[in-house]
Amino acid sequence: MGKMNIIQIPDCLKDIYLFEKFILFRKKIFTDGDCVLDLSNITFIEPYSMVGLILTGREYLRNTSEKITLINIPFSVLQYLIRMNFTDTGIFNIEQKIDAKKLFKRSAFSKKVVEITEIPNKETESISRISAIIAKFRSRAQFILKYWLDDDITDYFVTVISEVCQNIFEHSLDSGYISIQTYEYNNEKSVGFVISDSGIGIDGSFEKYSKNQYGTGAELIKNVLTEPISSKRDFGYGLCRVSNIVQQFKGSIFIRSNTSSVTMISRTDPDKKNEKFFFLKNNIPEFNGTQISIILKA
Amino acid sequence: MVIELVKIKNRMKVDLKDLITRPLGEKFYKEVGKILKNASPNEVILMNFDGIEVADPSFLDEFLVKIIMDSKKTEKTFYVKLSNFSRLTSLNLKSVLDSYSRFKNERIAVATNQLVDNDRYCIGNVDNIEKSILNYLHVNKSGNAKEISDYIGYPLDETEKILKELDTVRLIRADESGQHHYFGI
Repeated sequence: MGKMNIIQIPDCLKDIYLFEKFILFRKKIFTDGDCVLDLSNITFIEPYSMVGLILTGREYLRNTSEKITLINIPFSVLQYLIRMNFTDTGIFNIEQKIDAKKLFKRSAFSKKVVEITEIPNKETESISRISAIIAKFRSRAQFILKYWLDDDITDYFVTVISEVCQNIFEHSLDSGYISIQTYEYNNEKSVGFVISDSGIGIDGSFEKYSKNQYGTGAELIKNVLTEPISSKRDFGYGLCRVSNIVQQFKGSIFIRSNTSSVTMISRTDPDKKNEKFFFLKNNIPEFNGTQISIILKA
Repeated sequence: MVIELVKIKNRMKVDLKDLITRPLGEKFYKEVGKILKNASPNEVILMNFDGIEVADPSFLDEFLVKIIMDSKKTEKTFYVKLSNFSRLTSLNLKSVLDSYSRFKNERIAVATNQLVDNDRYCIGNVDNIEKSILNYLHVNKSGNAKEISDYIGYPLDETEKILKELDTVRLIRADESGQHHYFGI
């Protein structure tokens, strides 16, 4: 082992916006030395941050042929990471162990989650993986979506998962990850769908188009959420349809792609009209690829 | 001709109850295309979605939109009608057809044998008069232009224009003998 580069990570993995703080550490992570992340300050990890951590670890492994070491992981956080198959990705060195008796029981806990699953960038493998994810989601949907009362909600989110996951092999030129979880934080029940990759990003996918046609950065991300545009065909349906479904369930979408992000929030106004509101950001710290978080709150 | 999509799905060894992704849509289009070669001219093709939970927009774009466009080709016209589809499949298809119409500036719709949202027997954009005609032909199976004109309360010449348009979109079928007689799909 060479020189150790130990980085103390603050409690920034409990919220998609706080994860921006973690991204600021990336420069330090990729500087010389064997990277060791001290997670002792972490109180909670939500699915988007967990997948973001994996993408960072994978990039580090690709660049250096070494794994990031995670140390001082609080017991409850490690319990969760093991349950979500985070430790099975083979991307990190984790020496901490938990007594088998103290692990989350798969039978009970598994009903509320779809564990981290890799979506390959090869079409055939990817389709078979997406099908397996949807089959698992269907079998657990009554527990994952237990707080959302709509007869068709499972079918709506089958459409969401299918359309967003297809973008990975269609557009990103890299593999990605999906994870789904119902969780409670600060007495608020939420379900999070996270689909992330470290590919070429939305700007990269639309590179052949002029900036005037669909815009760039956050403006382009907003356009793919609101207009049926496609980088491969005359028009597309995926994210535009997804945003309409999320709006229908008054949820939110956060899309981060390279150095831009868009948050879409749905709210019902006093006239009972359900409207979308967009918050655009450009020139945020670089994080390769496209990371999508869809959250419904009960 | 009835095309049972679930049988094609099973032949392709797709375990899922859903029809998802563009590549699967392409495979279905090729497979169904082979079957359609045996269709008679002006035959109604009933696409039975029984046993399918959700067809996603990507699948529908690669499969059904292409089949609907093929049905309009002059070398061998046929008519497509959907049955036993889920609510989500109809909503996904509507979003696809709306986008298609908007970007291609071309009208596209498909007949159904069950009422969908807005109480009509089709998916795609039809106005209230067209909806009344479709409902009339669904109940009465057929009717001539005069009967339909009386039913909707429109002048005969305007009614005939609407009927021709609905035939072009493949939502109703005109009598080949040119008797101004129309059939429900």
